[in-house]
Amino acid sequence: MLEIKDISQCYGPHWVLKEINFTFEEGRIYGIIGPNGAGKSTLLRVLTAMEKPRAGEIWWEKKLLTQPIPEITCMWQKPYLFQTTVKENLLYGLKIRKWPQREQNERLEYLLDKFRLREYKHKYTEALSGGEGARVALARAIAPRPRLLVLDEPAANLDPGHTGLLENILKEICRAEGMAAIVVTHDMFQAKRLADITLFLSEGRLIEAGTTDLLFTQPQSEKTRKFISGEI
Amino acid sequence: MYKALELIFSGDRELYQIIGRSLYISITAVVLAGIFGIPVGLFLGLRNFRGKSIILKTLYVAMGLPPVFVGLLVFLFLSRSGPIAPYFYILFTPLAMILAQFILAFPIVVGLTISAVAGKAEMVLMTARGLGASSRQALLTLVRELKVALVTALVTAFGRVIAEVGAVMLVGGDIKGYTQVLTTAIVLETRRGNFSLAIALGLVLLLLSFIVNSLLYAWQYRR
Repeated sequence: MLEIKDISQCYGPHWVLKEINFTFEEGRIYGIIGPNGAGKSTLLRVLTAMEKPRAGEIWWEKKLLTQPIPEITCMWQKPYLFQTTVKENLLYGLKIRKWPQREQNERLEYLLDKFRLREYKHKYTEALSGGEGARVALARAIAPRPRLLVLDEPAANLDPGHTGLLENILKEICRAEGMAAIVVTHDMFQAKRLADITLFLSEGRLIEAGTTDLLFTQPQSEKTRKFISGEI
Repeated sequence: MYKALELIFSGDRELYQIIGRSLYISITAVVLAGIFGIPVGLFLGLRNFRGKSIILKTLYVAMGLPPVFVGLLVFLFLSRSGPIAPYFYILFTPLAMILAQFILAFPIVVGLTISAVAGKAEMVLMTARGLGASSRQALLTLVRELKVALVTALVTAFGRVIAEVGAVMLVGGDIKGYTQVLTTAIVLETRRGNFSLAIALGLVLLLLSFIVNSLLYAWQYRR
C-alpha cells in the first residue's frame, strides 16, 4: 500500500533519517518505537508527504507520493483542534470530502458514541481537557474512513485510563473498518498492546522491523535488545 | 454637556449627515484595506523570500505613519500639479479621503495579519492537510481559524482612521455638507467657539468606538 524507498532527510548538516526502506501493508497496525531523536516524527512527516525528503521516494499504490492525499489522515503530537465545536471538528474531514449530509450525520453519531463524546457535541474545543481533546483529535482523524491512519504519540501526556480507552477504540475501529495505522510511540508497552508489526528506529536508521511479539521476545539487533531492556 | 446631549438626541440633520459621512469614508477605507491587506498579510506571513525582512521593516514603519504626513503625500499626489490630476482630479472629495485613510489602514491590517499567521499557521495548515484538505482548503481553514485576529486587525484599523484628523483635513478640505467628517468638524466647531456641537461630535466619536469594540468583544466571547 505505502512503500518508502531509500528515504533520507537532513536539516542543515544533520541527517535525521538515513536510507530507510519499508512497505506498509493494508489493514495492519504498525508501531514505530525508538529513543528520543531517532527520527520517528520526521519519518511520519516524510511518509505522509508533509515534508519533502532530501533523498528517496514514497509510493502509494504504485503512484509517486509528492503531496498529502485524502486516503491518509494524521493526528500529530500535541494535536491542534479547530476553534469551533466538537461536532464541527469531527465533521471537518467529511465536509471537505463532500460526504452526503445523511452519511455525515450517521458517522458523527457513531463517533460521538464510540469516543464517549456525546455530552461534548456542542462544546467549544477550548473548554475540553487534555484527554477529551485527544479523543476528539483521534475521532476527527478516523472520521473520513482513511485507508491509512498516521498517529504521532496519540497518548502523550494522557492518564492510563484515557490511554487505554484510546487504544481500545483505535484497535476496534481499525479491525472493523480495515484501516491500516502507523503509530509512533515512545511507550514500548503501548507498541506491544497495539501493533501487529513494530519498527525500531535509532539515530535515523531503521534498525529492525518485524512482528511485535518476535521483536520484543527475540530481537535480532543488539541495539534493539538494549532499547527493549532499557539500557539505551 | 447638557446641550451636547440634547443635540445628539434632537435628530439634528447636519450632525447625522456628518456621522454618516464619517462612517461611510472610514468603513470603505477599512473594507478596502481588508480586501487587499489580508491576502498580502497571509502571503507575507506564509512565504519566505529574499527581501522579505526589508518589506516587513518598511511595513512596521508604515504602521506608525503620522496621518498628517500621509495627508500631505496624498495631497501632493492628487493636486493640480500631481501626476494624475490631468486625467483624474479627486482632491477635496470623499474619494480622496478614502484613499488617504486606506493608506493609513493598509499597513495595520497587513502587519496584524502577519502576526496572527506567525502564531498559528504551521499548526493549522499541518492539521488541515493531515486531515485530507487540499492546499486551497487548508488556506481557507487558516483564514477561518484566524477570523478573530483578522477582525481585530480591521477594528484596530477602523479605530485609527475614524479618529484621525490630519489626513482627511488636508485631502478633504473640511467642506461643509460634502467632506466634513466628525474629527474635522470638531476642530472647526472648537475654533468657532461652538463647544456644545464640538462636544456632541466628540461624544458620538466615543460612542462609535465603544459600539464597535463592544460588538467585537461580544463576538469574541460569545462562547
